[in-house]
Amino acid sequence: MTTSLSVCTYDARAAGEDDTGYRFAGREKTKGVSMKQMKHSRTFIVTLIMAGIFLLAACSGQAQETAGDTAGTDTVLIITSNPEGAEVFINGEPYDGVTPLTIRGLSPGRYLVEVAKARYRKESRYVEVKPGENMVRFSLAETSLYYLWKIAPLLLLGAVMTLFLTIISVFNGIVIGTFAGMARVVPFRLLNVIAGAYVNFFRGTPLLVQIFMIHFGLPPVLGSLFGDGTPIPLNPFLSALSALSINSGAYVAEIIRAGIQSIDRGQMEAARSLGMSYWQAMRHIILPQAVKRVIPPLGNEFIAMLKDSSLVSVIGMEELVRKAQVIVTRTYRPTETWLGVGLVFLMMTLPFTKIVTELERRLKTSD
Amino acid sequence: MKRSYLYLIIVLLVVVALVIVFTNKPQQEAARPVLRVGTDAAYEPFEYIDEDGNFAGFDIELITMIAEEMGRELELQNVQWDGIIPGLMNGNYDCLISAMTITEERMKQINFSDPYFTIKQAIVVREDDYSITGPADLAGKTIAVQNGTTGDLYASQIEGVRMKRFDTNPQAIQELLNKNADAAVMDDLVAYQAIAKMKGLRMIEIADAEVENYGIGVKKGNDELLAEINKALATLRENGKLDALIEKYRSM
Amino acid sequence: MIKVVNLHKRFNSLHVLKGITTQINPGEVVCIIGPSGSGKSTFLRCLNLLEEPTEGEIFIEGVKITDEKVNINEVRAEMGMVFQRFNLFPHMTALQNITIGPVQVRKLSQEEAEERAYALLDKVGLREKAHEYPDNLSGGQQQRVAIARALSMHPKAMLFDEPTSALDPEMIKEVLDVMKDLAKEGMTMVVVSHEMGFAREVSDRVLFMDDGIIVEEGPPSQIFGNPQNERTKSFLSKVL
Repeated sequence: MTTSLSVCTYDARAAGEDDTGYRFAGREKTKGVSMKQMKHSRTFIVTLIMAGIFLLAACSGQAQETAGDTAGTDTVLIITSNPEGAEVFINGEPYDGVTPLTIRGLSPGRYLVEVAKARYRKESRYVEVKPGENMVRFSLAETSLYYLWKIAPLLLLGAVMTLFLTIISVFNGIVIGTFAGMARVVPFRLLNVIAGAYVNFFRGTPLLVQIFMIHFGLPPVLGSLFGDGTPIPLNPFLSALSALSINSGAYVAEIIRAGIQSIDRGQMEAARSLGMSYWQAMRHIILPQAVKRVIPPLGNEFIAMLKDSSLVSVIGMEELVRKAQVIVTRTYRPTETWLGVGLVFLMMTLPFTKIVTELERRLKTSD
Repeated sequence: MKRSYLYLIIVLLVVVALVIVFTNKPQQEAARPVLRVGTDAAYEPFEYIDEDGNFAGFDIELITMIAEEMGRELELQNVQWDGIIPGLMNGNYDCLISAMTITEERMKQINFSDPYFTIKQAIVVREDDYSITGPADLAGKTIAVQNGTTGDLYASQIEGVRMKRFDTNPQAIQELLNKNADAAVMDDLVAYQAIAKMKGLRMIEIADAEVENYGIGVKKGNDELLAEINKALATLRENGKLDALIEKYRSM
Repeated sequence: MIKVVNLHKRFNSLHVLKGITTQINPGEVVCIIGPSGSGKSTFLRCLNLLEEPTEGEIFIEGVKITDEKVNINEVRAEMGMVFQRFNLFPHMTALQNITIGPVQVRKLSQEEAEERAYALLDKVGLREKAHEYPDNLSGGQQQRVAIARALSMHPKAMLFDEPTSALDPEMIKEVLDVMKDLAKEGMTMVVVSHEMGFAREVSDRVLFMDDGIIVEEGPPSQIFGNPQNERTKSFLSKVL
């Protein structure tokens, strides 16, 4: 409104009416106020009021009209924003309409232009309005919450892949680990050594290194072993699954070994004393008891793998972390993005942690 | 109880088998031969992922045109910069295009196409930091770069600098913004893009920096493909499409 | 029936059994007494090869069980063993503990095994506990089930390794009673125990072991009434 009023003021003075104050000036030439009529106070007052009303109406209407009758101040201010549909404030006062907006007839000068849209952060800038066309463009950033909302579907897609990778790898790991774990326990020296080497290697080297070894290091080896020498490429999914499964297998092997060895020696002795063979004793006496003991640690291995699987991002596997990296390189908002990733990981690990705790409780009482 | 375990195992094995089969896509013999391309899509404006999740950028547009010229189907793979050359050598893709400067060191491992773009290194600093006006002021400072880029090489040779190397360029820029580095060094066009997109940065051109040429990487020994790519590039040069593309991106 | 010739057992550098030679006849009840560390348990465990002799020979019904070619499992099936800590299988009921041996090793059908098992439970006075799990049984009850389990294999001899040492005093009697009944039925028994009363009452022969050898052996009347050896006298004076 301020703008409109100042326009009115300016126009009135320029119009050159008598200097009785702006209330009488401007558009109401048609009213034809003469000195004689002014002497009659009642009509005078009525006219004043009517003039005032008309003036006000004219001034408020002025803001929307295209400038035609203003003298020498052709300014056009074009305000655009990405995204569109933002509200505009000029010098703190709201303007009618949303971007993209064209404001004509502003007097040249410095204005504070603010732009705001729901769910986006307010942007403001000082604009020098010069005669002629002035363009100002705003890029609005989403509020943190809205940004998180926007990237949520992408993150959740990544989370699905993380879950998928984890479930398959741990399953494979359990299969491999059961064989390896038992191989460490049974009284066959050769098996003990081979399984021991496998377990020590994959528990003694970082998973990251294992992933690189398999994805980048293995193809040339495979090529010379099975192919004609040219490396056989592995696609990231295959490399990721292999690395995670083999790694998981080593940890599971230890869990199973520990589980078996935690069963009292007396159990094996009692079983053998009855005449059962080693394998019969394993199958009927030792392993059934060991199963109960290994379930909680296996649950923990699963939860650990949920987090460790994020390392396959280094070979471009599109799981949760990699998806977030790609988002960050596009939006340059690491804080919110990584916080979102952390939350998604929590959403995955917390339920399983609860399940494992519950399992531990149940298995303890039935022991 | 035992039966249901068996079923579960079978189901999981089937799922795994299916997954492996479907992700190891064999070369499509049918329609057109495929051109598999590796790129590190975190380097605006040359290659990046846009809002809709699609590949975009100069290199992307260029390789699309080249694939068209070669009569091949384009297949883009987003790979990490660290592994982009090993991936090529392992055969994960047929060529790479990733704003990669042709250097002696790289030519030892792979072959490059004819140059298709020129840049120089530039320095990016915080807007309010006036202590750095040129490469001479970088001595003794902390510089953030993307690991293994020519920017990394350039900055590493300056006296007494403390280098911080990152997997992606945006990470290096972030480090600068977080005031954990005094400057970042990268290709000039990428620097332009960074200061346009992010608040609080400004760019310093390095007048006497070496002119660098980008090339498309092809595995050594794959001369046929290299010749095809060069032919396509030549065609695009002749018919002006390459220049038009360069102009489009330089004027942004 | 059991013949032991010059039995030695070393655990690394520790020489536990220093040359045991003795014989156990069918139907005999032999008790082995002596201080801790004398090698009593080790000797007993050698009899069913739970410990592998370093030197020496053991014959059971003429078969040299220390020979490599012998099937250890068959040997053990003929020797029942009752442990100090019972070693019942906790994931099985009392009945299942008793049936598993015959089913797995003797290949009996579940029904036959159960029939036998119920009879054994009757024998030890625990039929009503057939479907209980070990952790619902008292120590004495568990040991009685353990005895029934050992008996399920119809062994030729029964070995008892300090069967009452882990029991509360009020439960010792019920276990000793079962053992007395067994002895009356003519089972060949070798018992390592601190229960001197049992040794005196029930055994046909008592072996006093100390420091890896049999110091003195003879009928209980001799060992307890008129010990010949100084060490025997000294030990007995401490425990009686």
